[in-house]
Amino acid sequence: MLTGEIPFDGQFFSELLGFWKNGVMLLIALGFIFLAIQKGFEPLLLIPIGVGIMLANVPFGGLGEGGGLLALLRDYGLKTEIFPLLMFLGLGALTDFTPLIQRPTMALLGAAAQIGIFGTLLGAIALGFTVREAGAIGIIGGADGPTSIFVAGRLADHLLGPIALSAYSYMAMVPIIQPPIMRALTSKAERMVEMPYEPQPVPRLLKLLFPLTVLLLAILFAPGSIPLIGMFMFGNLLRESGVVERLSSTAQNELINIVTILLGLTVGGTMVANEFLDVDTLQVFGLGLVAFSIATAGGVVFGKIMHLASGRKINPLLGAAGVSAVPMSARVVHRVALEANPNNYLVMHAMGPNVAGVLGSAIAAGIILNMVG
Amino acid sequence: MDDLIRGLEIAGTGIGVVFAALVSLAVVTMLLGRALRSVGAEPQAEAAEPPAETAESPAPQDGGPDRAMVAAMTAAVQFVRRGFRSSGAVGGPRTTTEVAGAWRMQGRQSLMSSQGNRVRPRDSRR
Repeated sequence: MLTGEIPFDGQFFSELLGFWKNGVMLLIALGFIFLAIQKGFEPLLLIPIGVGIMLANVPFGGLGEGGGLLALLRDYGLKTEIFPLLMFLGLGALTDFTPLIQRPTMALLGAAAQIGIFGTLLGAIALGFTVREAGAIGIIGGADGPTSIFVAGRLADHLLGPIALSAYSYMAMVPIIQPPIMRALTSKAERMVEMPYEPQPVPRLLKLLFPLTVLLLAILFAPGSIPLIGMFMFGNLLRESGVVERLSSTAQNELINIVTILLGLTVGGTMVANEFLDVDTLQVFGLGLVAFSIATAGGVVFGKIMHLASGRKINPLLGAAGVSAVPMSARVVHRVALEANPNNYLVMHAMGPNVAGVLGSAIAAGIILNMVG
Repeated sequence: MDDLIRGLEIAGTGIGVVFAALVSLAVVTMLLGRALRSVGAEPQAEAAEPPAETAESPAPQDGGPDRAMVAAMTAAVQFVRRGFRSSGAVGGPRTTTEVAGAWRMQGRQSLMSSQGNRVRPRDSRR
């Protein structure tokens, strides 16, 4: 059934009034679309999600119910984990690890930011969620939509909608959430630290070996992350091999664009009013915000430690790029640094912890899946 | 309470393993980088030796051109090479970081590209 039945009888208007929750969801959808178009917040994500919410909540539309298009996409794309894994393939093809390879110590900042995941896991347990639910909620702190969906689908299927929406919403709001935390935890003198960018050539063989090394470490440390890391590194190998330009280009463009449309619509489609507007959902959203904040703070605090350990040569703002919202958080770091010092160009430095954050959140997800799943 | 203890166990183990994995990645990357750079440097060093050898012993041992003439030609070639290098005309490319930040340079290049002007490397100009 792709369309619902419209009961044009005497009870039509009274039933329509019963759809007030749908009205709330439609307003949320319009809010997402407004943020995307007017404010430019992650339009690639928020427009499909907003439209998905809208279509799922149109009274008598039936798109989000059993057999409807959005329900089918959810069953065959999200629950089977195909969409998040294909998204990781595309992201791997888009990711250039050169900044991390040039400065491998930046990987530590990507690890430090993952404290948001585990801090939120504890917070969720304290609020009464089960360990499995808490593990799924905590992953929001990784600022990684596909990873959140992957873990939620395995650990807490019933929270998939709120977790996915929370993860993508907060990813879009990184420019709003992160700067106040970064400014609160650093002095102006620390934010002004200049880091000249001196690119070093990276041997091609090293770029080829890097994805294989990451995969090997994932096998050793967190086997649960292999689906995510495996697809990510497959995409990256397509990019770096230099002999499959067509496949690399497809993964970077057509594939990821198609999956983004389908994933966004499907995530939006999970926001059916009757299931969405309850206390658990609000708690998930609150915990998601806490997770993002702890992740950012954890990264910045570790950045300060590295700042001191390096003889004040490392700008502590780089720690905020350890959350894996690529490249949004790297841009935010760059912008906040520029505010303090107009000659400070940190974006290339910030890409190192940023891509390390993607690996860190995938490894954290694997550990949680191994210990809880 | 059991859940909280389990949560603490997961959190402690989790953050420890994430750090261990990424520290290992950093170490392996550094080691691989050093190894591959040193391997890449050796062939270059070997390739650089033969011209020096020919310069030192330009004359064949079994007859052939006059030794003095060969020595003069070699000296002239060396002079021309050194002269060009010292003038900077065909020397190694000047690092952009000496002149301006690499980021500014990249921004300038992308701006030039967007205007349809081809950006040429500095050392290819005449």
